[in-house]
Parts: sequence; C-alpha cells; structure tokens
Amino acid sequence: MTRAGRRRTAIAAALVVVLVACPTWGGSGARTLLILFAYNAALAQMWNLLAGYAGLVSFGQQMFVGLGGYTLAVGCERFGLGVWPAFGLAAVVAAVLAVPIGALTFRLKGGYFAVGSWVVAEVFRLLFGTWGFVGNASGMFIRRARDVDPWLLYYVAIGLLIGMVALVVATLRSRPGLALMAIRDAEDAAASLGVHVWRVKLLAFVVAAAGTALASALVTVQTPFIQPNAAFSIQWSAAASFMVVVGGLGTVEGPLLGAAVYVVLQERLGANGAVHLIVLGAISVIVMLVAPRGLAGLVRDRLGWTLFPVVRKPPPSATPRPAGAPPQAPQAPQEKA
Amino acid sequence: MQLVETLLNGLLVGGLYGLIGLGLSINFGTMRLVHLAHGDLIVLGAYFLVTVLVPAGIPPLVAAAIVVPALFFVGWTLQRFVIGPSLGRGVLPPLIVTFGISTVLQNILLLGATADARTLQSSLASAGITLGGLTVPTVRVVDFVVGLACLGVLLLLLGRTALGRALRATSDDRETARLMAIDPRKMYAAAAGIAAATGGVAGVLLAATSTFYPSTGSEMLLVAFEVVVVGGLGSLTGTFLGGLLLALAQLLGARFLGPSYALVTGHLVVLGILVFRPQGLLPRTAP
Amino acid sequence: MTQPLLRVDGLVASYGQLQAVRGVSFEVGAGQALAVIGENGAGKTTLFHSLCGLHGPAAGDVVFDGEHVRGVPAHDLVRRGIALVPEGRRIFPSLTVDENLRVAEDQHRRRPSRARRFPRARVYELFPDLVAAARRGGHQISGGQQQMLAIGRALVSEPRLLLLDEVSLGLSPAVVTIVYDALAAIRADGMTLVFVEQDVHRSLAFSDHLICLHKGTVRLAGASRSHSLDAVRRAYFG
Repeated sequence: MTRAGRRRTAIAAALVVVLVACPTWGGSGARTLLILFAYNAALAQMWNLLAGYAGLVSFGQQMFVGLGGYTLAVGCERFGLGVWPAFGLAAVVAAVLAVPIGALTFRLKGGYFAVGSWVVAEVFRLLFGTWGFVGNASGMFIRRARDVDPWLLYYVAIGLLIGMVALVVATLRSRPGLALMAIRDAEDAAASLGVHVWRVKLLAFVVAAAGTALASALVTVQTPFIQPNAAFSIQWSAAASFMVVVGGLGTVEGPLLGAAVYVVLQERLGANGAVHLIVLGAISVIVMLVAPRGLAGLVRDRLGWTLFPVVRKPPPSATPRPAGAPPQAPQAPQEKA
Repeated sequence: MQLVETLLNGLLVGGLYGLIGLGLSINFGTMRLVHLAHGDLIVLGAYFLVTVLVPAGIPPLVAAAIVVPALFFVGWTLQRFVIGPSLGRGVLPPLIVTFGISTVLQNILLLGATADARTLQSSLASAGITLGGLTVPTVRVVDFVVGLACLGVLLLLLGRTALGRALRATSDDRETARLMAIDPRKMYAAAAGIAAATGGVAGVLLAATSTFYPSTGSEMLLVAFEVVVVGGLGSLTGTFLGGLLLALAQLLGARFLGPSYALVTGHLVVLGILVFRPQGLLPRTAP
Repeated sequence: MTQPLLRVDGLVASYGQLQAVRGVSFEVGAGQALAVIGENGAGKTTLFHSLCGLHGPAAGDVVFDGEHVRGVPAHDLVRRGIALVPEGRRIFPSLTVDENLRVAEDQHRRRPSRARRFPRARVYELFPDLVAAARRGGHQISGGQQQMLAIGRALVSEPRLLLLDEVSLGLSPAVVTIVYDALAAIRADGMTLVFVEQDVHRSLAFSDHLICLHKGTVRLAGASRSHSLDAVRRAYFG
C-alpha cells in the first residue's frame, strides 16, 4: 500500500475507534446526534449509489423508507418477531419488491423516472393509509422497540453505516462496480462494450432499496411509531438528494460530508424545519450551479484529498492515443492505492 | 341522471387539471425540462392573490389580472438566471435545481403564510348552475371555461404569432433556430414565463375554488405530470384532454372502489400508461 | 483591390475531441462564388459551422466585411449577414413550409438592417415548387423541396454571404438543375456564395474559385478555370 493509502487507512481506523468508543466520551446527546448522522448518511449513500453511479435520479426512494419501516412494524407487532430479525426482514422485503418495481420504472428515463418513481411511492402512501392491517392513516406503534437499549441501537446504527460504506467501496472496486462507473460516465458506450446495463442498474436499485429499508428500520425503532404520510413522504428523497449534491455526487465520501452538513444545520436551525429546508434547498441549487461536484469535489480539486479512492488510473503502459483514433478497449485496471 | 351529473362534475374538474398541466407541457416541450417547481408556482399565485392582493382591497378580477403577469415575471426570471444555466449538462442538474426551488418556495410560504388552509371567500363556492335538469357547481364550470380559454389563447399565441413560430422552431431544432437569428436562451425564458403565467391562472382558480396549503404545490406537480403523461406530449390540446381523462380515471376509481381510491386509481392508470403506452393515450398531432 | 467580403486566416476548429479544421485560410470577394471541395471528414461542415457562428473556433481569424467575427454567436451573425443552408436541410418539422420561411423573415423584420431583396414572395418566384406545398408540414415535403425551402429560408434573412453545405446531395438531377438555376439568379443579383458540392464538374463550372480540403487543411486553391479535373481529384484524395 502506498503512503497515502496507509495514511487514509489510519484516518479511517481512527474515526471508527472514536465512534466505537462513544460511550466513554459522549453522553446521550452525542449518541442521538450520531444516530441521526448515521441513518441520514446511510440514506444519502444509497441515493448516491443510484444517482451518482447508476445514473438513476429517484424522487421515489421514500417508498423503501416506508416499506422498510412498515415491515419492521408489522413483523414486530403482528408476527411477534424480535426487533433485530425484523430488521433483516425489512431489507429482504425491500430487496424483493425492488425487482418488479425497478423492472417497471426503468422504462422511464431522466425526469420521467424521477417523477414516475415519486408516483409509485404515492401509490404506496395512499394504499397504506387505507389499510386496516397497518393501522390506516394513524399508523402503528412498535411496542417492542421501547425495550431496545439505546446504546445497542447506537452500535447497530454505526455498524450499519460502516458496513454500508465498506460495501459501497468494495462494490465499486469490483467488476460490477467498474460496470457501474462505466454506465455513469457513458451509458451507451458501456452498453456497446458488453456491459449488461439493465442488470447492473437493477442490482444497484435492489441494493439501494435494501440499504434504505435498513436505515428506515433504524429510524422506526428509534421513534418508535410509523405513519404512512411521514414514512412515505417526499421529504426523504428531498433530504437525500440535497445531502448528496452538497456533499458530492458520485464519490464515497460525498454523502458522508453532505449528511454532516445536514445534521449540523438541523441542530443549528433548531426545530423549525422550514428554515432548515430553505437553507438546504438554496445551498443545493447554488452548489449545483457553481460547484457541481460538491464539497468532496472541491476538496479533491483544491487539496487532492480522497478518503475512499475508487478512481482508476490506466496502467503506465497505455500509450497516448493520436487525435481522431477510436478509443481503446478497456484494459485491466490498477487501483490508485 | 345522478351518474351523468357526477360524470359532468368530474369532467369539469378535468378542465382545471388540464390547465395545471399546460405549463409543465410548455416547459417540457420547449426545453425537455421536467419543472419540479411548477406546482409551487401555481400555489404561489394563489397565495399572492389571497394574502396580498385581496386583503389590499383590490377587486378580485383586477387582482387576478395582476397575478398572471407577476407569475410570468417570476417564471421568466427563474429561467433566465437559475434554471437556464443548469440545462444542457445532463439529467440531474435541472432536477435538483427545480426541486430546490420547489422546496424553498414551499417553505417560504410555510413561514410567511403558515400552514393554515386558505381559500378565497367567494360566493361562487356554493352556487350552482342548472341546465336541463343537471346541476353542477358554478366553480367547476368556471374552472373548465377558464381552462379552455387559456388553451385557446396559447394555441393562438403558438400558431399565429411570430413569437409562437419562433418557440416552435426552437423546440424542434435548437441549433437550426439559431440560424434563423433566434436566441434560444431568450426563447426558453419566454416559454418559462408563459408556462408560469398559465400557472398563475391556475393559481387564481385554485384560490377561488378550493382550499390550499403550502404543500399543495407537490400535489399540483403530480397532477400536472400525470396530465402530461396521459395526454401525451404531442400537443397542448392533447395535454388539456389529458386533464379530462385523468379526472375521468379518478372519478371511475371513486365510483367503483370508493371515494378514498380516486387518487390511487389515477396514479395506477398513469403508471400503466407510462409503462405500456408511454406516448400517451392521444395520437401525436401538431400543436 | 477592394477588400474581400470574407477573409479567413489560419482557422482552427474542433469537432468534439477531433481537430477537424487545422489552419485554413482563404478569401472570398463580394459577388464571387467559392467552391469547397473535399471528401467526408475533410472538415467542411466544421468549417461552415465556424463561419456562421454555430461553433466557436479555437484559433484563427474570420473577418467579414472588415469586422472580426470569430466567436460571434450564430443568431447575431445572421443579422450581420452570414446565412447557412445546413447539411441535411434541417427543416422545422412542426412548422409548415410557409411558416419555415416566416420564422426567418420575422426575425429580420424586427430589426431590418438591410434592404429587402428576398421577401417570401421572391422565394416563391425562385422556387415555384414550394407554392403548392406552402401549407404542408415541413416533414411532409420531398427532399428536393426541403432543399429549396432551406435555401429560401436562408435568403429570407437577407444575407450578404450565403453558405451552402452540400447543395445537391441526395437530389434528383431535375431538382439539382432547378436549384442551380435559382442559385445562378441569386448570384446574378450580387450574392456571395461559398458552397460544398460533391459533383466536381458542377463545382468547377459554377464557381469562380475553389479550395480543396483534405484532413482539415487546404490542399489546393485558386481560380476554378485554371484547374483541371485531374488536379482537383488528386488533391481531393490527398
């Protein structure tokens, strides 16, 4: 590993240690904040996986927030599951449903996909709101969740976040990950090189669904009740999109930075959700126009820092192409360590 | 008779739906832009009427006439300085920018005008028109007539004026339009202004005929989107008819599944169309 | 000697990543016709796009009637008097034939800077075939009619320099004759023409001067009269 790589690993390890040791240096305040950060960062990571890598801008991710939360609620309250098994079930249900939903909505492109997925989420919201089994519009209260030890919840949250980041990094460094980045950069070219664009996108969609459902399960356990209008609200996608754009689309550290900004703003601007959202909305518009690669992009451009490098450099043997020559076929990539 | 009345009632609502969709259709037709703040511009118009103009003592019709150019200006400005620069760089920037504008607008309205329900106290609300044994609420007739009139004005604008020709040319082929001494950015700004102006008309109707909240903007956007999908992108007339068809779908859902299933039925029909007949229900015709 | 209407000096322009025009220089005098010859990919269209403002050249000079116009956007340049009849005609499909003409005319009417020599009526005189089709949609007319319309559209903006990219491509011989007759009439009126024509015979016959492009540079240039078909062919193929 290079020196830069060793430095990065050290920083990452230090962060993990600090997080794990939270009970020793922080109280319930820090814990609450970090849990807030964890699930927002998880949501942002998943939205980024879709938009920043698979090219799928979704304003319907809230469907998996709702589905995940309700699976947990129903699992615990109606089927007597323990909280943690219900967590797993939430991910499974979301993943399974993501297959037909993805298959259908992938026929839509661009803005149509964005609003179309929002319409699908609305269908879920309305149906859950009139379904007696899940409590209609009043929702459900999850009694089992009250017994969950807050520090246990904290470790689950941190574990979830770390696991998700690790998963994303590992995926991007793998073959499907290479395919994802090829799709992001030039979908048609990727397809012509034999990448199964549709399959890779669906995989990303399913993974994002599962991840979103897990983050939602976390929130639901913490609350601990669930209501259709809140669970299936467009605000989840709004927040995720803002976090990713401000933090930096298409990078691994971007969503983390964005979530940090989001949480800090929320703490500063207090309970008044409207001001928080105005600031966030305005910032994301400005960032999109002025610095489209977000905070992570600025840090990379100005300081050359990357916490999770997943960019590949061509091997040194690749010769520069003469002007006008057709592009070479991709060669075996080497990691920029 | 009751059924016919319900049907008529529903179709007249479709006139308002069609009007709501026209603005989105103009934006998408000219710039391939799914304007996620269009619904909020409509609601902005409604709030402007109800919380600023009417309390200032301006007579309602005059106030309505002020809202429309005011919204034109808002739409034009947003396009020129915020949305325009985000175009041409892929799918994400215009979506994020218009969504950001939507969020900011909704929350400014929330802060400024609170979350209370609003409406214009108008005698229209409870009046009804009776014709040949059928009674329909006056508001529905007004919605439909105004919507239709708006469509007529837009068709005249597009079909008979120099600006209309230039707009159509720019939508057809932006690059070649430049060869005709047309500046596409100016066309886009004009189109956005016109779209927002139709939103202003819709906002006035919204204020006069129903209650609204800051969050109504999102509902309006979904209606507009669905209207455009159902009617297809071929023409403004198609979009307007799409409004009628959407209202019909919702009506049938309410009739056969129950009143709380009206919206869901509409959504499902739209999703079905998106997947199986994405060009919309109506054949593509020239605008 | 009076200054040329158009002077191009060392023009460099890219098509995407590819440098399509690599140092092209030539002049066109007022009222003259210049033929641009070259195989596909030689850089002709990129050159034309740079001249009419659709595309910003990376380097070099374009002087039109004494003014430096490199980098002036197309919609501006049209008003100053450079009009392009694009390759592929690019007729507006959702406008009728008459509306296609009116679109160009509208813009000139708004700020008329030159005398009107080509109102729509004149275009219909030059191309009688368009009269019957006036109400038809742009996408409903034949290729020949589209080319006539494209030329008419460019004329209606009252150019002083008319650029034509691929005059006779895909047209039947009868239509080509009509088009060239019209071009001759326009030229007799004093119009300056720069045109691309695949038929080398026609190119030589109709032009006063020619340049031959090969891989983005000028391989042959001079008076059309003084070049043999063979010399041109050799330059064409590099």
